[in-house]
Amino acid sequence: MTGELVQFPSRPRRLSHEEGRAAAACVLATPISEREERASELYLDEPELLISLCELLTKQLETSPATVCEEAGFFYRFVSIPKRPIGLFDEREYFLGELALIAGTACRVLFRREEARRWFDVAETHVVLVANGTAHVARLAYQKLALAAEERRFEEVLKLAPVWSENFLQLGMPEDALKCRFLVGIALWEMGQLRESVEAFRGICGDAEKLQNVRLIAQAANNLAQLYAILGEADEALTCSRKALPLLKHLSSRVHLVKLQWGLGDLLRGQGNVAGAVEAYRAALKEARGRSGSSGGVGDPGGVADHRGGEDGSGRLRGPFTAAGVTPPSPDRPERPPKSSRLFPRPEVARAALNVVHVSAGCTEKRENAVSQNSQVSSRC
Amino acid sequence: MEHARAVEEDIGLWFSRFALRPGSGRAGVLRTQLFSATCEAGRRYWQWRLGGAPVVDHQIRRVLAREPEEMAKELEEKLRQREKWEKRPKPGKENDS
Repeated sequence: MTGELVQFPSRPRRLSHEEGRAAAACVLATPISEREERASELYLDEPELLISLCELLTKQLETSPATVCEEAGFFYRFVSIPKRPIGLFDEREYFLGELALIAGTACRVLFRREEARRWFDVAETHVVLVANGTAHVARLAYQKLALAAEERRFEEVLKLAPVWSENFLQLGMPEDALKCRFLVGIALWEMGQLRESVEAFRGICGDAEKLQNVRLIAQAANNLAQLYAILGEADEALTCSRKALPLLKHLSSRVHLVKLQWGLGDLLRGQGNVAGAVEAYRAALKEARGRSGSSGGVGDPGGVADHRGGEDGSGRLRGPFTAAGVTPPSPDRPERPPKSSRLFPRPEVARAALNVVHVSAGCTEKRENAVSQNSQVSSRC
Repeated sequence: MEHARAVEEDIGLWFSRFALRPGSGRAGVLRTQLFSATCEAGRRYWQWRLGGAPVVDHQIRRVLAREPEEMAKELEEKLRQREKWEKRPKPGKENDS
């Protein structure tokens, strides 16, 4: 027997994890049209690249969903057709499932709900074959619940979200469990059960603090600030706003920051603190201008190109939340869309509000400056 | 020996990436899946090595007849029992105090 002469077909590592990250960034900077022919040079079939790529795309879901959707779609097609031998054991199925989940989430964020549903179905066909598949099935279930919340199927959300929250805890995924509770809080809010919603978000805030998850603390505090403002409890609203503000700044979450600062301005104005209100409105406008100036592409913290406007790129109008100029209510962006425009500085609203503030403060010069600045925002929006 | 090293390397690479997947962070999950991957790799290795030839060694035949998942669970259970045994209170220490 001379069987030892045959080499065992193991797959040597071509890239380290760090090299994989760099290669993923390099691929994202390469136009999609050029990638297929440079597939080998770009290491497109390398699992170290794909794992980093999934991580990068997930991070950009909120800020650049259109780009993420396009990228995830491209890589899904690349991995699936032709059937390439990617990675070891279950890795091909894992990447297909993860890319479909990312594409579906991006579509949900973009209000392309039917497309999102199709991607989630595709993801399901892959994740059931993957090691630790239960966790991925649960992640998919969360996305479907978030979709239900956006489609205002609140009864369904209130019934299933607490069950999935428990399931996530059993799977050792406490942050995902909290995200399910966010959906409960939002559903209660939308159904007009404001006190119950406040209790839900207070609980979430406390548990997010235990987990030291800055993002969830900030978003829960932000939602609480809005709820207290609606309930007319200005002091509580201010406390929550002040808690959320530095955290959102730290996270560079400009969309939420603009809305929070604007809401803070409203609260201070209601309390007769005109100077404080002006300062808050100005900060909101400054953030809004910064957001308007960003590109919306990969690496763009503002992601204006993906969120702003009432069309989805195909000329069709988006859902009702976008029409109001705000993001939909999901725990990826777990902020309830305000029914009025008071928490979002649309230019005409901003101009009117600043006029009122400056007139009541008796400063004509500042009023003129404010009008001029708002015109700039208007021209950029 | 060289083959064993190659299989081990494959498992190591897969596991280093598996640990980065969302939802894989829990120690219990990591251990279970490491056992599973090892059993799966062992089966694939023998399938490659035999190349369709009949299995002569009865021990290998017995192992290959079983599902890797099932074997992984059994191995994990054995390890759990061993850990439990090692953590049991030692009667000698109680007498000392």
